[in-house]
Amino acid sequence: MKREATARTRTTGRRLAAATAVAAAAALLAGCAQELPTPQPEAAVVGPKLSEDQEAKVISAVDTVLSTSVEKRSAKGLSSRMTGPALEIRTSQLKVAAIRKKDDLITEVPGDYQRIMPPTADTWPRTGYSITQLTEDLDTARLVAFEQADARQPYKMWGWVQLLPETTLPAFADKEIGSDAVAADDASLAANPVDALKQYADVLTHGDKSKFAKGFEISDTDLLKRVQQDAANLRKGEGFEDSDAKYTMKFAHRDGDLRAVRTADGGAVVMGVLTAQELLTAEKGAEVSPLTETQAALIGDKDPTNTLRVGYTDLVALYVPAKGSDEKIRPLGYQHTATSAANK
Amino acid sequence: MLQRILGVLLVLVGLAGAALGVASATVWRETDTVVATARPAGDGTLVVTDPGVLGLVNSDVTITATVPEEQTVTLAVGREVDVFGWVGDDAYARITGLTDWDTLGVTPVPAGGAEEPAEGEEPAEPAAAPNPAGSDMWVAEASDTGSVTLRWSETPGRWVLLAAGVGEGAQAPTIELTWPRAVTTPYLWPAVGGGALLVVVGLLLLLASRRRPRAEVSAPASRRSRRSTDGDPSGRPVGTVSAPEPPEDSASSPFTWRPTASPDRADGDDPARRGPFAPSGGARPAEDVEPADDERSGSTGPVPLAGRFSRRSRAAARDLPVRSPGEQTPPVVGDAPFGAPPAALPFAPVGGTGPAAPGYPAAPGYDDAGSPAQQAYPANAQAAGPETGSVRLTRRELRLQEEARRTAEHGGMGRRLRALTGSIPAVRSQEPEPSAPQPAETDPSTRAGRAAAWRQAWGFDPSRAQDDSTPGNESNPRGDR
Repeated sequence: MKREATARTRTTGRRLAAATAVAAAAALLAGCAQELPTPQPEAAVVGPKLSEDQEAKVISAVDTVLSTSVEKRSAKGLSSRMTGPALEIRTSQLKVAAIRKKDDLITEVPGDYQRIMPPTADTWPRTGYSITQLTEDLDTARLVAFEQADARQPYKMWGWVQLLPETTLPAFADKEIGSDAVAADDASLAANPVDALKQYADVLTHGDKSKFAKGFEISDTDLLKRVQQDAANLRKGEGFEDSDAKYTMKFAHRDGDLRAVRTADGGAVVMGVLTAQELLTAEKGAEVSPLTETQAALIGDKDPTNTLRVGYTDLVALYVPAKGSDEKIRPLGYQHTATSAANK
Repeated sequence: MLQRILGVLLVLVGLAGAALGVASATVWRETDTVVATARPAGDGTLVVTDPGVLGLVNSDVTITATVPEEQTVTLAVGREVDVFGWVGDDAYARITGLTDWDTLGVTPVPAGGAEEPAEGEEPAEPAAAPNPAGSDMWVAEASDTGSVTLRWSETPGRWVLLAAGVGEGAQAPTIELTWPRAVTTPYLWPAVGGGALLVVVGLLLLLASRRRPRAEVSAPASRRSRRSTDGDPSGRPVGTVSAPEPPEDSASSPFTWRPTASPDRADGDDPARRGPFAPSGGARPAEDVEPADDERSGSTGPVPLAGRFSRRSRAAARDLPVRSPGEQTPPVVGDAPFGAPPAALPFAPVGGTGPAAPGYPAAPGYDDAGSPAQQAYPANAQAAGPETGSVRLTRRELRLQEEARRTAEHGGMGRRLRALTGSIPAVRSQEPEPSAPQPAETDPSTRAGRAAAWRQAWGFDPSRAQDDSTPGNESNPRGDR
């Protein structure tokens, strides 16, 4: 009996010892062989490709370049942060400023923004908008388009327009969501961006007589009104009729130079380039002097003739509603800049 | 033996387990950081991590890129699409994750973005390695010569690292990712606790094994002693933990004694066995003590007891020599019920002779030890009671009270511990109870009956006398005191 008990004890003891050994070994092994983690990336989501911080840096960098160029009245180095029509216009303005030795005709684009519409595109080019604060002169805010042409390029200012006073901007997508780019031939809009620009150019050229005029909601401060006002002033001007002068202003859209982003309601804000040719002719012998200081600067000290040709590079921003919407195409702002002038 | 080995083994394993547990939390404790290195090979100056690699171990990561001195290295963190867009078709090394805790897996991706080598394509003319520094797309970047460090806290999104050796003759940088890691010591307490448990179990086994063999050994010994004394069936192992019992026996016996009716229960008792006690009976040398007791007992006239004594002395004539010197026998006798003498009796064998008696006065000792003598007392008193006055009863009561008090004082843990360890025979103090009138069986008229009565009177139940007779048994407590 006792022997049995001893044997049992021994067996139990052995089992206990074996179990202990196994447990200890397992614990040691487990301690040594902690599992290697494997990368578990989040699912890819479409989101803004610039954070607010990043966009702020972009805007700041652009502003620095702009400021430097204004100080020096030189377009040198401007291309590092400007491209497209913005660079073109700015270069012209700087040139005029250099000639005039005055900066007052250089459009101010504030470096402070009040909101951003970052891009969402995975591919390039990428386009984002931002809206600046009011200028120091309490001029209206600017709507600025930025573009990154390819991955190794920085974001650059592609264009800007001065927003019309008292205009109502459409609702953009939140900056945490980002704004999708809209293709030039996007079919989801009341008119695709290219057509919208063409139609607007026609309206600007022909005014109320344009067949597209009904499709636009023109405010009193719009470019059209300004053009009409200028023309009217000119015609009423001294000697206009006496010299048998003729005045024409023709707008046209420029292919390829447009950037559009989607708005929250499915519409789009289209920023594009329109070119305008202003021609003022008078009877032979008459002299037509430049109408503005810019024109004068562009013409230089050439003797006036009976002809004045002024080329404008305009940037316009249009709100194009989604297809089926009751809304009309609505101009939001423009930048009307004479970039060439000749008297031949 | 096996049990002992097992016990030792368990103790050792337990200690080892606890030690391992402690070691796991100290010397084997994992470092607080994970440092993994990637050494890109192949073409290209660019290194790109897969999404998720930066946050592999911890969302906070410190990235260090190293290139040969005098070269420039740039680190940048950006969205996956941005980085891969920036890299474009260039060759780069792709860090795919950890291959072990120190190494990052690197997969070279040849130019053109194809995993397989470009076929027959003209290698692009070597140009200065592109520098990703300054791109608007990066959310964090750093650039320096030789080595550069960048800290990055993973945020939601697919963020990847782009590292580039920059400039002419640039090569892909070596990337070292360092993550802090929360190190836990999950084995510390389980191992220590389990180890302690094993140690305890082992010790218990050891104790049990130690106790058992001794019991086995002592049994024969007691048998032997019994044989030597008388082969009394009630013999108990000597020197074992069971030692406490004899006092009990002796304590109970007194109650059974009645001087009036003391039938000879000593049937089969042989003088030889009684021998040891006989001297105790004659231990009247203890009478030396008596004077002290005398004061108390002076007024008492324990005549019957004296008679008893004389009877006993007659019966144990051999002892008389010792006793006779004491002329004050009557007083002594008178004292006997109260004082040392009865107590002394059982112990007398120790000394074997009178000289031992002087030790007696140390009586306080026997009180608290609950020695047989104590218990014998009340019995005596009781026995005497009927014949003496109430005075004596009062004294007895006083004594009993005193005894009870001392017993209480010496009770409790200390006593229990001693009982547990077995170092001292723990005697349970017993309140005197009116005993069952067993003594009725003893017949005082016969010699044997008287002897039995005597033994009973002094706390030696004839039937158990053998147990008590073992000198060492009783002497121990006395000696201790």
